[in-house]
Amino acid sequence: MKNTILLLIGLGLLAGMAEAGEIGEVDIHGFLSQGYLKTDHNNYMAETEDGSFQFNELGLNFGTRLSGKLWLGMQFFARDLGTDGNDELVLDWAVADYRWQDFLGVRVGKIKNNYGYYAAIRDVDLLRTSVFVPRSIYSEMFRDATSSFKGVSFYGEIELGGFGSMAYDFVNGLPNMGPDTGLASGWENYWAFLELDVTNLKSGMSFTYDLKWETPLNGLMLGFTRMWFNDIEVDGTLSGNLAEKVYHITGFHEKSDLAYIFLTIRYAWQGFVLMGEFAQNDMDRRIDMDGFEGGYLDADSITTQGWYAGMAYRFNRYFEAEYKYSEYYGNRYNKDGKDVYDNKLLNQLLNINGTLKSRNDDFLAWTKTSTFSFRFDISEYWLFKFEIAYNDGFGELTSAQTDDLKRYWWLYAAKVTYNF
Amino acid sequence: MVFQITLTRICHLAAVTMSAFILTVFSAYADDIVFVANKNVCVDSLTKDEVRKIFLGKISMWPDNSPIRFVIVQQVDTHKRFVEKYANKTEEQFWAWWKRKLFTGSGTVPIRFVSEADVLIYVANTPGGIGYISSNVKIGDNVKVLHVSDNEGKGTK
Repeated sequence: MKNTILLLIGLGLLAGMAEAGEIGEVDIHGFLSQGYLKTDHNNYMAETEDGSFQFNELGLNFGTRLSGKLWLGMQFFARDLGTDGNDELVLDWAVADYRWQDFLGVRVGKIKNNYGYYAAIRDVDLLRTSVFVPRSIYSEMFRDATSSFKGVSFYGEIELGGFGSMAYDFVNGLPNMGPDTGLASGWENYWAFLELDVTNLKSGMSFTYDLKWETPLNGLMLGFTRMWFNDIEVDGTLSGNLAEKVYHITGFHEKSDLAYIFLTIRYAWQGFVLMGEFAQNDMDRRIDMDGFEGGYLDADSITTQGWYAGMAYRFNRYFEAEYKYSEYYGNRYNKDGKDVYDNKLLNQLLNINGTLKSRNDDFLAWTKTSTFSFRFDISEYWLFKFEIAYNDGFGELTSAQTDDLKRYWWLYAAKVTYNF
Repeated sequence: MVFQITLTRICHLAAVTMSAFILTVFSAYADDIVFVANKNVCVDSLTKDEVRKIFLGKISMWPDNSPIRFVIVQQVDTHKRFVEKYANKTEEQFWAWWKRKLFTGSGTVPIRFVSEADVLIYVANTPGGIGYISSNVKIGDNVKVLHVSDNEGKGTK
């Protein structure tokens, strides 16, 4: 409701300014997509074992140019992916963009976070061949939190003479975190054995520094991104037999810092696109549990790692196909899943052998995926996609896991998109 | 006798080759793209690389710091030839580039005109305007034609 009012106020302001002649024409664009997900085993993001239509996105975009250098725009967005999103309308981004020179511009407002190749376009299905962005790099659980920052960004493109050009985008601000976001679900899944219910989730100032180098070799782009989330605070309650009756702990408080690194390579030649990315995420944690003897757990850091490589080819204006292979590891130091639960101190103090070991599911340490994607551009406005992914392992945290996980599983996805 | 026949054949071959060359040059000219700009634009020529960067939004200002206002023509053949020859992209990649900017809050999509005549009217009446049309469209003297060179170095701006 709050966001619907926000949308109406925003539209009213733009319409009023246009009517008053203070701004030029307001461009309106948008997209709408409806998908279907099915897995043979394991629920992925939604109740996919039975097939799920809880997979849709809607975006409505307004923009106007106030002068040659100043531009205003905003986009409203709603999505549903299983328990995430639930079609709640949110302000995706809203910026005032002043491009002083080609080598330096500044944006203020709620700014789309531009890391890696796919982050900025993961909500916009029509801008890629595949249905899902590579899950080994772009975690669904962190999607809401990493999508945009409220703050300021400096961007531009610098000519490097005979060495091509370098585009940069430095975003500084507050990420979108809260107990209703997908990230909270991820935390709850991670601590599911203590039945954590997240009641508070917030972060301090965070930064994304992105560089994309267009090399002198026509079509070859190299990218580098560093992203930091500082002072993430998670509070919640613990319940269930294990927490209440065995360990006598009721409250949960965690402070964490996250640091990401992304490397991108992309080469486009005529209808071919070759692509690859690598990402690593280091997370330092300090955990307090109410009633826990010894005060707090100075928990071990967690380092996740992922990469993918692939190739796409556009056969004609109607049809494009893509293949990608990806690997993701929830703990880069425990890639085969043979080690015990990664928090050794927790093992020792609580005598918990951890989710990995206790369930004897080594394959929860990784996800290795081969994905075939097919894109049909029915017209300029209509698009249909179909995707088949064969998965080995279930290393990702999702909001709809089942207890009886299988190591090998297929994911089928189909999606129809309209844009204007 | 043999020498005479050979000479005749060589002459015939040369004539055919020359005709083909002339036809090719003529066809290339007839199918070529012409860049037109508003009379107040401070440059008379551009490099291919500068054209690519202008129409991808990487260069947004003329050398005198006035804003560049470029337009796209929807006429299928002209636009297809333009993106392939000057933007180094397929049509789909070109529009994906601009929709990426549109939906990620980093720009607006270019203005599009259905006819090349509308491009000429817009460019003539818009300071900083630049567009492209097919070379077989008649151009009046209310716009300037920009020479585009192949070299990647500096243009004459």
